[in-house]
Amino acid sequence: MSDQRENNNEFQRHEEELNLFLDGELSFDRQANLYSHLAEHPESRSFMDSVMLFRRMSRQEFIAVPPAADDEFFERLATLKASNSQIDRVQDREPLWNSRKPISMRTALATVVAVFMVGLLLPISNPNESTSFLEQEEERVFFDVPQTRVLQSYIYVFVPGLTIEADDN
Amino acid sequence: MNEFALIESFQAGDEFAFVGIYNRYKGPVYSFCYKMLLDSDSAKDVMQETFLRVYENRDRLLKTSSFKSWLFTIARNQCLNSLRRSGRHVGLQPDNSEMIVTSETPFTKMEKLEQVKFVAQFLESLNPDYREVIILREYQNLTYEEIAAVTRSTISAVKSRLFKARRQLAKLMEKAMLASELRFRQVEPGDVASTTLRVN
Repeated sequence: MSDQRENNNEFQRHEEELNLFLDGELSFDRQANLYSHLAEHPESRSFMDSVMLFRRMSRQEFIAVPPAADDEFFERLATLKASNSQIDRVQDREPLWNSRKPISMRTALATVVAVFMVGLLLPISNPNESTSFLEQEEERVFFDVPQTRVLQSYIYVFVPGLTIEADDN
Repeated sequence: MNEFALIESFQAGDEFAFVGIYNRYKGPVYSFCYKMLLDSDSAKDVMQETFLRVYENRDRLLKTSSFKSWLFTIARNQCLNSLRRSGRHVGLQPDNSEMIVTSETPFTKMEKLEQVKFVAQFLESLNPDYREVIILREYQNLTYEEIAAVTRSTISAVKSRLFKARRQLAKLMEKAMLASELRFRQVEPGDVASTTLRVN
C-alpha cells in the first residue's frame, strides 16, 4: 500500500518535472533525473510525444486578422469617440439649482400669486413690542472707575542669583 | 518605439500611439480569441471590443504591471462573456475521439487541414478553464506568472490546470493514434499505395 503511494508521488513529481521541462522552466540540474525517468518509463515518453506533437500541429495554422476587421474597428472607434463627445459630463454634474429650464407664462403667474397669498397668510409682528430676551442680554459698562496711582517709587525684580533695583530718578 | 513609450504617448492624447498599440497586439489578441471561441466572427467582434475597452480605460494603463497581461485579461473576460451568452460549450463525447481521424493515414502524416481540425476539436473538448491556459501557454507563450495575472489565479493553480489539460490531451492523442493505426492496418496492400498517393 505504502509502496503504491510512494510510486504515485514519484510519478506525480516526474509528471510535474516533465511539464516544467516542456515549458522550458525546469532547471538544468533536474533535467538529468528527468531524462533517466523518460528512459525507463515509456508512458511518460508517450505523454511528452503527445504534447510535442500537439505543439507542432498547433503551429500548422496561421491565424491572421481579417482585413475587414481593421476598418470595422476604426469605424466603431469613431462612433465611440463621437458618442463620448456628445455627452457633456460637466453639464450632467451641474447642481439642480443652477439648471435653467423654461416654464410657461401661466406657471410663472400662478407661482407669483401663490407666493403673494402665502405672504398674506403669515402673522404680522408689532414693531413696538420689545423682547425680554434683549433686556436680559444687555450689559452695562461703567467708566467712572477712580484713576489708579502708583505710590511706590522703587521697583524690585527678583531673579534667582540676580537682583535689579531701579527708581524713577 | 517601445511598449511604455507607446502607452505614455497614448495617455498623453496621441491617437497614433493607440493605432501603434492596436497594430502591435491585434494579432495575438485575435489569435487568442479565435482559439477560445473557435469562431472567426465572434473572435473579430471580441478583439474589437477589447481594444475599445483599452481606449476607454486609458487612464488605468500605467497602473498595471504588465500591459500584455492586462490586455489579455480584458480579452479573456470578453471571451468568457461571449461563451456564456452563446451558451456554446458542447464538448466532444469521449467515444467520439475516433471521429477525429477522418483519414486512413498514419497520425503523423495527417494533412495540414486535418491537423488544424484536430487541434480545434481538442480545444473544443476542453473546459474553458483548461482551454485558456493551454492557449495562453502554447500559442501566446506567456509565462506561468503572466497566465496567473491574466486568469486572476495563483501560479500553482495555473500549473495544476495546465498539467491536467495536457493529461487530457495525451489521452485523446493516444486514442486517436490507436484508431489511426487500426484503420491503417485494416487497409489492403493495394489500398496503401492509393492512400499514400492521396496523402501526397
